[in-house]
Amino acid sequence: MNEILKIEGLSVSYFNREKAIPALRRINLSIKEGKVLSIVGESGCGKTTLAMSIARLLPVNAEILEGSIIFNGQDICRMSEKELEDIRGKQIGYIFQDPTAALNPVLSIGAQLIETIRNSLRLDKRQAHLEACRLLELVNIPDPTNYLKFYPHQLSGGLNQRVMIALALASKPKLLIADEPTSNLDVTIGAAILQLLLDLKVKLGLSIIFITHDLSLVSFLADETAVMLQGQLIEIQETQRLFNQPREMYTRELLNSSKFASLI
Amino acid sequence: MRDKLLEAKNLKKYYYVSKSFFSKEKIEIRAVDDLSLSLFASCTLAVVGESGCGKTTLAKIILKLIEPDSGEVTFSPLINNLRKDVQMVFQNPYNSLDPLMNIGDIILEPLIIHGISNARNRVIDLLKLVRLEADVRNRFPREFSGGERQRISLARALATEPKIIILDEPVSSLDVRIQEQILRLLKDLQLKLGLSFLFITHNFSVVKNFCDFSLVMYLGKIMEYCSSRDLFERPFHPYSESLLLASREKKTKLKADLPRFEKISGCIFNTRCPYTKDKCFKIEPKLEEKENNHLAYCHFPLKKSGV
Amino acid sequence: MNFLKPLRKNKLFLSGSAIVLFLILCACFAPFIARFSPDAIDVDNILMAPSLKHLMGTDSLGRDLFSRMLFGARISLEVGFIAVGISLIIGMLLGAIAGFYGGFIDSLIMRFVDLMLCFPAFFLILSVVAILEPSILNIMVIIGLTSWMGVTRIVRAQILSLKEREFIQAERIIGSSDLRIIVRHLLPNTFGPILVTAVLGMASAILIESSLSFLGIGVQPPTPSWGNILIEAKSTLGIAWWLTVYPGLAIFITILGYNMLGEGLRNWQKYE
Repeated sequence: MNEILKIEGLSVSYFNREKAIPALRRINLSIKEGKVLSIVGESGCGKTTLAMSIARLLPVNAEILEGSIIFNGQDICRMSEKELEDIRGKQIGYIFQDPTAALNPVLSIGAQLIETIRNSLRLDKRQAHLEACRLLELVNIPDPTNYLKFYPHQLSGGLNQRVMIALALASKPKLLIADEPTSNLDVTIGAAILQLLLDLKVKLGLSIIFITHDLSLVSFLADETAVMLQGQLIEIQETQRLFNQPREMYTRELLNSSKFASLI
Repeated sequence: MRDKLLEAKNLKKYYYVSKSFFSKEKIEIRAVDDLSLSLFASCTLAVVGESGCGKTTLAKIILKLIEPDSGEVTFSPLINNLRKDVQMVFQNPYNSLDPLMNIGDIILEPLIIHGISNARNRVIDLLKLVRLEADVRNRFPREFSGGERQRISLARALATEPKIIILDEPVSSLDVRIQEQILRLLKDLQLKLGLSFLFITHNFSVVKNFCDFSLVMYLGKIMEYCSSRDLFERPFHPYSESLLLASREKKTKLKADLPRFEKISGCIFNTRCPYTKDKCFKIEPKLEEKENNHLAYCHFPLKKSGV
Repeated sequence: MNFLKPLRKNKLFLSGSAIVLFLILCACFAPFIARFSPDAIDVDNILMAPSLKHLMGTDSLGRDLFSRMLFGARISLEVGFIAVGISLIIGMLLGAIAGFYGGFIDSLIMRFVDLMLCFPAFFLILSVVAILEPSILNIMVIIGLTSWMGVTRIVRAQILSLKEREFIQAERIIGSSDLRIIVRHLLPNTFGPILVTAVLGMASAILIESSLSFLGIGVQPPTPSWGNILIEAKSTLGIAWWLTVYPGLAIFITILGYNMLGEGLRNWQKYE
């Protein structure tokens, strides 16, 4: 099985006036095709910086100091903006924490979907419309033709998250990066989204990098789990093994606290 | 027999919002709908529910921050000054403290308002109680992390020696290790000071570890009201079951997401319930005692043991 | 005081405060810096060009322009502070009541604000000053009474949003009275935006005073004001350029300074 993404020695720092604040320190990880890798850590550990680095969407004051991110044989870190256009949102899809904020409030979800579809696939308006309906069905939105007319603010968080997943899948990506997709959602709706992601992994052979601070989500979805602390990847293991035999003290602490604070 | 500290009877609070910016049509939102509960001394009641269920409105009604449309909240004579005896800790640590006041003043304020003597020493004791150093008094909220701010809010809440503290999801926005710290602190304080907690949460492990009784809310109504143990071992209501299932196994059997603005006839849960029968769409169930001290709002409560 | 750090690099703020500070120093130390009394008439030396003796020249009565300008600075500052002070007091009071209590009293106050905003301020001021006798006190009060509307709106908007924040609800829960909440918790948290409005308001007040004085209904001669010095400048434009240039420049630079200070403060707040 191929490695669809391989990160080697990635270091990223933020620059704030005089000081350099390291956010990622020589991260090494890889994910195989069709697998789910979960990245777990507390706030400030650098997991979102990692997601943004893969997307090459770091803010101006952040810099990739060293390392490489190899996707499909090419190093993302060394690509120009033009080359990235083909990857970002096309071969690699993204979903974020706040679905309503990530969607354009002045466009209907149909308009947004169709725009994204036509951007990556050569379809005419009618075909794109059909494809948009198909995508909404894929993410379990009932009665898609009706829903295309709605605007993001008219839909609940759970529905918007499904729309965001549909948008991410529009270009038939090989890799999906999900940064805390269920943190803002109610527990029953978050569970539905997790189930959806699992379904998509099976149905489409999608590889997923799932970033979260909540260890309890991980065991149902992820094949492998990586633990981050202060910019470093301190442990990466097959998920069940991580839960039963964590190697690092910090991982043990996280697991113990998770068992106390949520039902694992 | 423990003292009953507060009793809420048939609370109703409805809001009316315009359907859209241009339309005059109003939609009725039933934030709290015919809700009754009791809270006893040194007991913890969990109010479990997801967003929009009305739990925060319930807290505001109990604290007399808003008036209910009908129904009433009565307190026992042990609660003679609401502003001393009932306090609250909020969900958002970043908005709970006045950014212009230093920590010492924040905790001092309730003591000054109620004319409590030896206030300055009491502030130091309170900080100790929540496991913070005395020298934080001169610093400002922006210098502290979420977990530390919650401790400060807790110290402020404890200042007037309340009998009841309402906790509105106090740890849900914090990292998991801090969650454990704060939850353990709360447990200690409850044992030490004999406090009653009204614990608003969607986190079942909190319900399991802390709370004697549980009340499950959905769209302003109570779905189930029983001891926490019963809720875990034998939930009667399908919604309670789905919350447990989602928490434990991240799975759901529910048919749909929360209804938005539709008017629902019959059981308000019928748009999502996986076990609906004909009756559920026609007649609304009543919250009734199905078994000893175990109430449920359901025509066909679950028979077998819980998840 | 770490939050002051960004201010140090903020160019607008630094230049603006340098100008305003300079103005304040001139005004405070006017009696010590001025070589001549602003009223000292010297018929032998009328309309003299700037020289080492008279740094800015003299006017048609031989009075030293530099000294007059320094004392004029006092007037400008005084008017600025008091007029803005009055508008702030009225604005904060009305804005706080409207924002905090809402409902009928909010509508009443806001309709009153709308009413006041209907009048073009300058003409309102003109009318009032024309009816009453022109004096510095009258001008300051009139400007203050016609410029509180912006403050009211800002204070009300801030309070409406602050009211819903948890720390204000916490205040009610611990038993704070309404007055305590408004005065100790809500209003202080509105000082940021109000500061910007106040600084910009001073620029506006100074401009209005200069205009009124120039029209002859503001500060009355012989008291020097940059505006009334310009009255004389009108008739001597061809022969005494200094009588026009210096007061004109002073007004321009002062208003520029206050505006820069205000904008700098506004940017700092956005950063916060």
